[in-house]
Amino acid sequence: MLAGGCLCGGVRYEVEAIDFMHHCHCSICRKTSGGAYGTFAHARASVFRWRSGTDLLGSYASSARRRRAFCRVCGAKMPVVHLAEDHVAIPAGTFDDDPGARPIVHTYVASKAAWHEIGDDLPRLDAGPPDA
Amino acid sequence: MPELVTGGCLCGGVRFEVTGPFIRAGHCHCSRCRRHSGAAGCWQGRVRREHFRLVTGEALLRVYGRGEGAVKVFCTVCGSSVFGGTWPDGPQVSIRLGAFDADPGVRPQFHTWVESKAVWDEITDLLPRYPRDWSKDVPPP
Repeated sequence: MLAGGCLCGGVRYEVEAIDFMHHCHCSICRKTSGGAYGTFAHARASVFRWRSGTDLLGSYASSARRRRAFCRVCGAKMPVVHLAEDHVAIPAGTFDDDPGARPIVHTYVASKAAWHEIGDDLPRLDAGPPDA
Repeated sequence: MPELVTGGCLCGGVRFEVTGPFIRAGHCHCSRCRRHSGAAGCWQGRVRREHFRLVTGEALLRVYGRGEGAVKVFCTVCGSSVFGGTWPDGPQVSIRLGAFDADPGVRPQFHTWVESKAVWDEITDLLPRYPRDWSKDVPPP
């Protein structure tokens, strides 16, 4: 079981297994994280559970289909569950320990920050992954 | 850098502008930056306070972590990380590089807290790597 949570410790979650991880360079990930890219772990919603702090979660509709979640106390970016798709996107920086999986692809590279250079050999997509 | 660079949060409620040169910029991999950003840490650049102006959104900002290190300042509407450092005090303003609308001109110059980085976070550039804090006096190993 993998566990994680926000910076202040109010929001906690656990997930049984990760399907894959990826780095996203889209403008929404850059704005919300404040960094060069977001890194997400993807899992099935059916193996994800909140342990505490759901009353602390805030969210913002970043597009017609997607929300961004955060802890309203510490601003940590938090998982977003898509029940209908049996999918959860977990900001990878919030894991307590090694999630086991590793990023396999860069997405929305066409939108990446001018001040950041991608230095690894992972595949680079100009758009997003099929289910994220 | 351009004469004026602008930035803000995702929802647009917080807007700011920078009119002077960056003092330095870096990528911090510490556990607090990772938890807060949800990513491989925080990227930020510093400017002198007189070169910074918060245009709108002061009431939307929340400051977390006073007394625990650099603060984490975010928009309470959309959750975007915008400022850090000693906000709202001090002679310098630390601004998240991801909050800028376009290229602010500056480039990250070093990595800090590399000893704390996530196992999935691979540093691939040749910038100096500080095991912990940045220091103007002590070069990285």
